[in-house]
Amino acid sequence: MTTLLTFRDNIKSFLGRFDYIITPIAKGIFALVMFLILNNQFGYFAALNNKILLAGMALICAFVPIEILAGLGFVVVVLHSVKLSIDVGILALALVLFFYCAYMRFSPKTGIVALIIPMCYSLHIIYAIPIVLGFMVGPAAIIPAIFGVVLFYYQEGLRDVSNILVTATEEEESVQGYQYIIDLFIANKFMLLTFVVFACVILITYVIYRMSFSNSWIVAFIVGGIMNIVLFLFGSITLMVEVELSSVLIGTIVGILIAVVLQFCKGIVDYQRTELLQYEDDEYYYYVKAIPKLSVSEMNKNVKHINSKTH
Amino acid sequence: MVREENVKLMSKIAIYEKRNGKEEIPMSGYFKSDYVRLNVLKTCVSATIAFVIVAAVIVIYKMDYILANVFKIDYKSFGFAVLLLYVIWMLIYWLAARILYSIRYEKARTNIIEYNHNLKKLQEESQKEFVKAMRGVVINDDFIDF
Repeated sequence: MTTLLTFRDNIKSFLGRFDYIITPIAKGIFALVMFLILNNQFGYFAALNNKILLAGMALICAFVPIEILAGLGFVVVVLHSVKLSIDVGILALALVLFFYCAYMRFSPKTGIVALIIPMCYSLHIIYAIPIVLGFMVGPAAIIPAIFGVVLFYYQEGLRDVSNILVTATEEEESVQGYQYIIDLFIANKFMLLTFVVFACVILITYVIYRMSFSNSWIVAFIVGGIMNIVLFLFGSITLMVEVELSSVLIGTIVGILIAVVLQFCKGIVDYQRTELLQYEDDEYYYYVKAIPKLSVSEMNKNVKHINSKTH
Repeated sequence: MVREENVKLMSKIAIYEKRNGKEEIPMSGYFKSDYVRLNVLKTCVSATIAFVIVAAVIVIYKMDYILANVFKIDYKSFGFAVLLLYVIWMLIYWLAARILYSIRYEKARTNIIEYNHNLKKLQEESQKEFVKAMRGVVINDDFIDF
């Protein structure tokens, strides 16, 4: 355990020192993966799949705040929809604008959660996500998570619409993607169940995680996991919808494991950052690099074992 | 001459301005009540836009029905229902925004106090330097003992 903790502290100090290089790289890679998955899921606008454009967008995202990255993701979604047909494009625009006006304005940083959810669907870890969001973000993640689920089912509906549009002849032009997708939303009880379960699990995990008893974190993950399974089961029985039990079970276990790993690494994220500053006074221009002082390393760590049995 | 103390202070100030300061420094120009009121007003505008978007989506979705029953719809009760929904919607946002922005203002206040304190210290330092340069002596009242 001591080795692990030292290892963590070493990573932390490394990240702290080279934060100004590592953060843009990590952000750029994340943006690239996000755009690739979005293009894979939507993929109606072939021009957006252009490698140079993707690389350019990822490069821009590396240097802008995370909320602009979320905004760009939403723009990509709207563009794909407009390319498929104008009416679904309008629906996508309405969804995104509604989300922005109703929620993202107040808490812009959580907007990215709405785009992480469709990514989790395509990585098959969707049942794992509420536990992780519960302790990483807290209740502020509930509405973005719900919007993310809507975005995923919107994309499913879009796929149906594109299939219908391909097979439809000219006489059947009355097929309305807009109406079709909203009908799907209304009829989709599983989506509704997912909303409720996500909201409950995020809230419960957060509340228990913040309690002050020792090891509250592991209790929070396990209770969150159990709630996840029980609520999905209960919902599937009462709403008469099919839930793949095996994927819920596996997803929950994976979620707990991810949460445990992230809990261990959480200290890494709040490291003191190296700052590159520029300012001036009457006489000089200053280019300052402020490096945080390191706290723990293996050399100066002294672990004393106190064993009561010897006394 | 570059003075170490000044560089430390200026770095502290610059770090704050770079991080939270961007959002928090403009807050110091308002009284709490003005700040909260202004942001509640902005929230009301965006909540209205959100409401209009939802209404428009529903109207387009129900367009066939509306066109078929254009003369049969009871516009009075329909309008009243929409108004009631709007009022409830706005009330929720109004309340949430009041609480949210009050909390944000309070949180920012402590940081701004520290920031102002640092600025003041910096100003004092440069004043001292100025006096030193002009007359060659700095009168520091800590040392004056009667």
